[in-house]
Amino acid sequence: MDTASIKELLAIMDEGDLTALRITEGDTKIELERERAHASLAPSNLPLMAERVGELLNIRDSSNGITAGGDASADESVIAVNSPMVGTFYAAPSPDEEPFVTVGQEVLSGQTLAIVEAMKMMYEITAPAPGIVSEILVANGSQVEFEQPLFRLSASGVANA
Amino acid sequence: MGFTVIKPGICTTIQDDGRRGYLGSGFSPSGVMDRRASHIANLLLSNKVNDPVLEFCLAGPTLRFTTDTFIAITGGDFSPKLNGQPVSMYKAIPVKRGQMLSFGAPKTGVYGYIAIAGGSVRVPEVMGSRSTNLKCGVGGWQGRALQTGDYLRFMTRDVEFLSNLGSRSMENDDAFYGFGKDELTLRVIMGPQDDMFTEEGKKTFLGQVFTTTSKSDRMGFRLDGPGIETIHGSDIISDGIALGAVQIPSHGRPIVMLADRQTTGGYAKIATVCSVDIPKLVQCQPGRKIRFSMISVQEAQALLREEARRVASWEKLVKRPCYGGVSPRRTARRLTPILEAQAKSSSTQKLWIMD
Amino acid sequence: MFKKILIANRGEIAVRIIRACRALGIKTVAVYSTADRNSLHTYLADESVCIGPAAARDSYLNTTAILQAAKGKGADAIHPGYGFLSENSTFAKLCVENGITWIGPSPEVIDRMGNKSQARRTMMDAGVPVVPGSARGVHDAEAALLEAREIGWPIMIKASSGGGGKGMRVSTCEADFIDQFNIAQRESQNAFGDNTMYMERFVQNPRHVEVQIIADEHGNVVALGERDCSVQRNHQKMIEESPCPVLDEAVRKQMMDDAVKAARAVGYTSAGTIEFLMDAAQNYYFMEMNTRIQVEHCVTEMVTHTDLMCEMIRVAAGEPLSFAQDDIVLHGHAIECRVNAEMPEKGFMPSPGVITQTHFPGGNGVRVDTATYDGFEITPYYDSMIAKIIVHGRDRTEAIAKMRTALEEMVVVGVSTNLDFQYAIMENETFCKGMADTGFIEKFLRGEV
Repeated sequence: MDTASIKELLAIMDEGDLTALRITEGDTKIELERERAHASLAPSNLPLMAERVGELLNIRDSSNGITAGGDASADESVIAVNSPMVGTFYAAPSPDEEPFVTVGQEVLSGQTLAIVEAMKMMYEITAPAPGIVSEILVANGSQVEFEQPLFRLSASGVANA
Repeated sequence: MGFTVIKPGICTTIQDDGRRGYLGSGFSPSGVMDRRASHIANLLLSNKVNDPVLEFCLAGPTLRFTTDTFIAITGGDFSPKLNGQPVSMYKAIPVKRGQMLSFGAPKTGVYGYIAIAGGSVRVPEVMGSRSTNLKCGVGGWQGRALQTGDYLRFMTRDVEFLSNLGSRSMENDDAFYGFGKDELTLRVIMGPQDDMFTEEGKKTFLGQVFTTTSKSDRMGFRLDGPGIETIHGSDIISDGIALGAVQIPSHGRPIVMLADRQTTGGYAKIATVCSVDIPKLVQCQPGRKIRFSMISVQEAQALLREEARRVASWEKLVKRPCYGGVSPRRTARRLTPILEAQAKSSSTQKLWIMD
Repeated sequence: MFKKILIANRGEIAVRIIRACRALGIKTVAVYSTADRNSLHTYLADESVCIGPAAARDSYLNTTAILQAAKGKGADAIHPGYGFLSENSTFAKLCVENGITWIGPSPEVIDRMGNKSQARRTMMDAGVPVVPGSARGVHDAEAALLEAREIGWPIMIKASSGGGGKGMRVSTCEADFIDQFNIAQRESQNAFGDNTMYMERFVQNPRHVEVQIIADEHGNVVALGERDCSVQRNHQKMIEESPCPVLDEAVRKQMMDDAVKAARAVGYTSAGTIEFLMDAAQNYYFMEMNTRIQVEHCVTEMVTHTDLMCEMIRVAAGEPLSFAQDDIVLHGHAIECRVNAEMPEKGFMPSPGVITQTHFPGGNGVRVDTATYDGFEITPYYDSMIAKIIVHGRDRTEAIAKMRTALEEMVVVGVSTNLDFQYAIMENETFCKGMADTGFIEKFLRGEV
């Protein structure tokens, strides 16, 4: 049995969260057993909390206070479109249709840019002002959170930086 | 650790509620002239109401404190100052080691009181009391008034904290004493020798205005005014004199007998001032107009009970939790400036506090 | 066992839940509002989702956003903590319908115990002592008066859907009953949208004694001793302790049995608390049941040497309780003080602001549960709790000494706190003698104790 197959078996073990796997194929017998140490003593594969808390304290130190995530658009020619809710981002009206907009496309005020869906409810994301789509910041089908930046538009009539 | 006397003031003595039980042996009870003021002063500091206080007459002493403590000043207003700055009366005031308490112009009243936190000054108890009997030279501070150079120790030194400091203050008592009012009415219980006076005499006593004079001291207050008529003169076989008794000697003008009074006397006593009104009288400067008004023993007792209830409610007032002042949490008090200084210095390193 | 839990809460309880999940090897998802972007719970969790703006109703009470976040992150369970959605049966049902385990009792149980008059009736049927009162909810003042005559004065008029002291009035005699009823009913309609009222005999200055219970899905119910939470101001608890300083052993045994009986009567699972009112003669009456984990659960953990949060998660995952009733012994004494950003001198008005420096106490038998750190901002949108200080000693005297030391040492710079107030209570004679009942704080504020 080659390494590729063994890797496959290991993947199967992981997926099924199996402790042991024994396969007999003709004359070949393979036994894979995961040493299940006591749950509380198994080294955690979760990243260290201390690292993350350190991050938090550094942010507090360097910024003297609370800063909102994401760049503030100080640049007036850039229009930020953020998600108004938690949900799933859909770039197109349905899976087999074309996306609502593409990069470089000119859009009118109120034009639908995307859909965010939460608990089977669809919410249309619309352009707050006329402009040109300069960036699409999230992938189709990804989870977005409140105020997460989704699009950047450049205001109509202003050249892209 | 206490205070040093820089200037003694006039007749500054240590007094408490008096030496009771020895009148029959010829021993004046002494004690404070104005019990209401001394009780309030002690109450503001959570002392026992009977803890000894400093009593002075018209001119207060100058004292230098050699330890931290709290004081309360009550009674007449003699412009108290701490290190030259005016301080409030009827309030618990913090005093720091080295500060000087002094008094200025007399404004109202006659007797002033200074109470000291932590159970007051350390003087021995003589016959159950810490009052000074000036005549016998017994009790209080060496049986005499304070003199320059005296050094009195406190029962508790280094009192740097009193709980609920903001609650330890009261309105001054001007309304009670009638300061600024023209006339003062003293309620009296008739007797024990009121039957020695004519109806006319009693009418004069209860109807006319009398005036306080400067011939007044801790023994008694002499009043001026119309003579009070007796039936057969005012001589009696000497008997005991209660606090507040109004003696009418042969000249017919009343003397109210007070803390340092002689224990027995041979003049008829037409009435006795009820105990709750005695403080009003003793705070009268000379020239004050006085009227007497008759009440029954029961009424006088009711007044006393009411006063006791008032004292109880004042005790509650000063126990009310009060915040925003000095924190009672000592370690936090010490740590906070250290941590605040850290915040100011822009380093993000934590300071390890080593004691 | 769950793979990933979403914590539908914030502050110190969210931190508590995250720590328990970590100890159990479970991944965590925090949800936060824009005001909580730099909160400790947001950073401690493995993943986090911003669910809305600062206002609680648009974030921590936003069921759609929270559920969507759970589904989006693939969480298989939600822990609601306390407050917010923890006793919202609609949300619990939604979770269940969406295949997410609700870490708490079933929505039906939440409903049943959330309706105060219904809860009372359930307890009466189960034989748990209740305060003499109306058997069912009333809507009409005249009808209520007829019942009031049966109950006997003084009478407490309460809102059926109420809590936190709203929609409650006392009628001292028949003469003022109708007026008080109408006032209370109006308040209830405004606060809870429900004008159903019920009445109970008013017990003057009772003690508030509550029993912590936990039950699994295999029929095991364990009572973990009682807590005395009598030191409260306007029905907000300030200090909690376990055990109750005056409770007789025989009464304790009876109370535990009644608490277990109550839990069984409603088919309770997960952690919960049965609240009793107790008079001076140690007669106790069922008041209400809290179908969630509570702020003061730590006190019970300290005296019983258990971890209620881990236990709660385990039973939600279908595991049996890791201890039996016989394993529960109360060791020593524990006290908790809630430290809030508030101004006692201004009627305990909240004092929001940035906490620039902190120094927390520590040492033997001292536990600090907090989400506060240097630079953390207490915003006006949520509760003003800074930390819970919990101490444990071999007896009550030792516990009080440790609490004094802990409070005495704690420093918070940047906001006003109730630390001095809590410290003053720890030095108060009446409290130290164990004589504090629910009337204590009021008397303390007036200087009467």
